[in-house]
Formats: sequence, C-alpha cells, structure tokens
Amino acid sequence: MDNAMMIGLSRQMTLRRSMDVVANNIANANTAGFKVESLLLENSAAPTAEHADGPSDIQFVNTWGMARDFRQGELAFTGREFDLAVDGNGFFAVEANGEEQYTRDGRFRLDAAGQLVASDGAPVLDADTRGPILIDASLGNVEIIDGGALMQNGQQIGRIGVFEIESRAEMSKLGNGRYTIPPYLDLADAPQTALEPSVRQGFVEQSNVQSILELTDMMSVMRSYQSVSKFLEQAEDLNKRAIERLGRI
Amino acid sequence: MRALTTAATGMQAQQLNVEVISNNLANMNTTGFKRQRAEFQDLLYQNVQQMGMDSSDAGTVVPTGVQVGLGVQTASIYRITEQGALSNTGNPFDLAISGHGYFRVQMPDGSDGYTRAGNFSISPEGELVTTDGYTVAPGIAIPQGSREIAINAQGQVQALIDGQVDPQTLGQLELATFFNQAGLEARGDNIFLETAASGAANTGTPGSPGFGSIRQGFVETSNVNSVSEITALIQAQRAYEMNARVITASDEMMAASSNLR
Repeated sequence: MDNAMMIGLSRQMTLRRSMDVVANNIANANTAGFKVESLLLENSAAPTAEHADGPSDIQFVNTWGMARDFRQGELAFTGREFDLAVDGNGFFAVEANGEEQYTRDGRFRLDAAGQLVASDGAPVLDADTRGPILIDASLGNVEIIDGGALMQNGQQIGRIGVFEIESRAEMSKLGNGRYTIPPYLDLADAPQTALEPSVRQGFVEQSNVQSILELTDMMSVMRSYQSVSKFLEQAEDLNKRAIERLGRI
Repeated sequence: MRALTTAATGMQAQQLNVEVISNNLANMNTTGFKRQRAEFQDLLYQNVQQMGMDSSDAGTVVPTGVQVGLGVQTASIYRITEQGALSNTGNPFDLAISGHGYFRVQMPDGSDGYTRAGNFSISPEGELVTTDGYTVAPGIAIPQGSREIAINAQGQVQALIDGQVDPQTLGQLELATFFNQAGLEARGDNIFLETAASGAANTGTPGSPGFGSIRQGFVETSNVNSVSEITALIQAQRAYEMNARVITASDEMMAASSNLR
C-alpha cells in the first residue's frame, strides 16, 4: 500500500525539479546566448525481495540527466562593432580562472589595455594563437569578415576563435553563459578550431527559449503535480478507511 | 522550491531592464547622451547529479548529469557609444564631435571630466564654458569686441576683433580618447570621469588620426533609437509577466502539497 505513496512522491520530486528548470528557462528568456534546458526522466524499477521473472510491477520515476537544446537562437541586429554572433555550430572561447571556457554570448568589448574581453573582463581567445586579441581602436574601425578574421585598415590583426565541440551535450555549465569541458573527457573530445566559422558582426544571438512552449510546459507540470496530489490524497484515504474497517472487527 | 526564487531573479532582472530603458527614453533629447543596455547572464548552476560520476562497476559514467540553474543575473549595464546624429543649430558655440573623442572639462574640484555635449557658452570672464559653467580645457579666452568666432574642424578657434583686419587665433581645442570608452563613469550632467577600466585619457588635436573632428554650429543629439527602445520595453514587460506566472504556478504546486492533510 505504501508503494503508491512512494511512487507519487517520486513523481512529485521530479515535477518540482522540472518546475525549477522551466523557471530558469523563463528567467533567461532575455539572456543572450542562452540555450533551453530540459530534464530527462527515467523509470527505475523498485528492488523486489525475491527474484521474479519479467519486469517489476513497481516503477519509480527519477531524473536521469539534463538535455540542452543547442539550436540556433535568433540573431538580433545591434550594429555595435564588438557584438558578435556565431551562425551555426561552435563556441567563442574565453580564458578565465586559468582554463578555457566556452560561450555563445558574443557581446564583447575592449578593456583599458585594448584587449577584446567579455563582460567580466575575461580575454577572448584568438583562433590561431589561443591567446588574447589586442586591438588599437584609435587606428580605425575593426571589421570582422566571414571566417572570423579581424580586419583593420585592410590588415588582418587576428582571428576570433570559434571552437567546435564534439561532445557538447557533456559540457558542464558554469553560469555566466559559460561552459567547460569536464576533465574526464579524453583528448578525442577536445575542442577543434572551426576552419570556416560564420561569425556575424553587429549581431547578438538571443536566447532560444520559446516562451509559449515554456508556459505550456509550466502549466502541464503544475497540473500533473496537482493530480499527483489528488492521487496521494486518495491513496491516503484508502489507507485510513482500511485501518478504520479493520479496527472495527 | 527553487522555481520561486528563480522566477524572482527573472522579475528583478526585467525590472532593471525597464529602468535602463526608461532612462534611455527620458534622455531621448539630451545632447550628447549615449544609450545604455542591460546585459544578462544565467546565474549559478547546482549540480543535482554530477556528470562524469561512475554509474556502474564497469566504469560507465553519467554522461550529462543534472544541473539545475538558479536564475538570471545582470552582467553589466553597457553604454553604447555610437555616434549620435548631428543637428544644425547655427549657434557659433555649439560644437559637435564627429568621430571618436571627448571634450575635456575642468571640474570645480580641479579634476578632469569628459563630455560629448558641446553646447557651450561664454562665461562673464570671456571663457568658453559648459552649460554648468565649467571651463572647457585647455581654456579658450575670448577677448571683448570679438565678432565672427570661427572654429574649424581641427579645433582651431579664430575671431575677428573690432578694429583689426586679420582674424586672430585664440586657441586650440583638444579631444581626449580612451581605449575603452564604455568603461567611463557617468557622473550625470553629461559628464564622464576616467576610471581604471577606461584606461588613461589620450589627448590630441581634433582631426588627427584616431580623433574625431569638430563641427561648429551643430550639436550631437542623443543616440537613443525610440523604436528599438519601445520593442525592448515590450519584450521586458512580457518577460516580467511570464516570470510572475511561474511564481503563481509554483505557489499553486506548494498549495497542492500543503492541502494534502
């Protein structure tokens, strides 16, 4: 009898977590370069006391993993010189805390030393040298041509690094729109410099959250939660009545 | 329930967004105003199930893990320093900068301020000053009896003085540029101050490489684009509403639980 309560509880716990994920998606509906996330659920069989053939009758639900939808976000025109967007696969790389971090948020700027940096001051990496990119803004406007080359007065002064990551589903999210490659991945999964990336200057990649989908998700999570509550109530009621009736005898 | 606080961060972020947009709209007609943009980033992630952990004795690992994000944060409020339109006023002391650079202004406390608002006037002592009466460096003194003051694109100030045939050179205006103009600190009154983020001011003659040139009789209008501000406002408002819906939904879920008994 208690199994019903436990199964209901396992569902409610995953629903709460789903709600957290939906809330995070909606909170980031205006965050540049944000990618929609969703929970992956699995059923896990309850261990039985004695060996039985066939699948177990009782299946709990559990979170299994997290999926990110890396679909392209809309490119919004801003016209700003250092607003960059990757059209297609690949990530910009910045150096922070002594490691390379990857991001789709290309709202860069120059710092006091003339380095191209992200909003927290982490230098953006060059495709070829994997070092910071230095720009002297007083020499004229910088143009970024397709392929990521930075051109100033007809001279190439660097190339914006765009890296393709084979196992992007396994990247770990840091917050600040940044991802890292977890250390257990081997070299075969190391990021590869994209040869002909499509980098758009003057555009920002918007969040790929589709608010209608998130809102319907939110409603279905809420309604499922309520129906599980109802079901828990009934299960409990059944318990209560059984105790009452048995007590009478 | 994290969803409540997550949605609250979303509402706070959109509120800030609306504040920035309303400041831009309020300054639509401010001379030399540069619009701002609130930039957001996702907040921390909580690892509910760590990726890369062993999922069996055979050495298989959890490939993706469960990371739950905790909302959104403001990364920066970025000032967009693109050129504003130049509007013709015909006033000889209205100076607009076309291109890079700022006028240097002597603040009352002796420090330097920088401005793009070139609607200057003359002080009772005959000096070129801003609308607040701060001297425009390096100090241009205009003698009495001057007429026809001409300031050329290179910032040279000349005047015809009564009783003289040849125009007299009164001084030379300077411009200051910065590596990172967006790092300047806005002090209000159209004045910016140098910071560690902006880098040191680099002064030079207008019209030389890397510096803008001066247009007499023009003012630089604000670079706020009303259409894009209004669309941003609509987006911010809708995002705010959606976050509020998440709070209601989370509340209902909690109510469902607490009504069980």
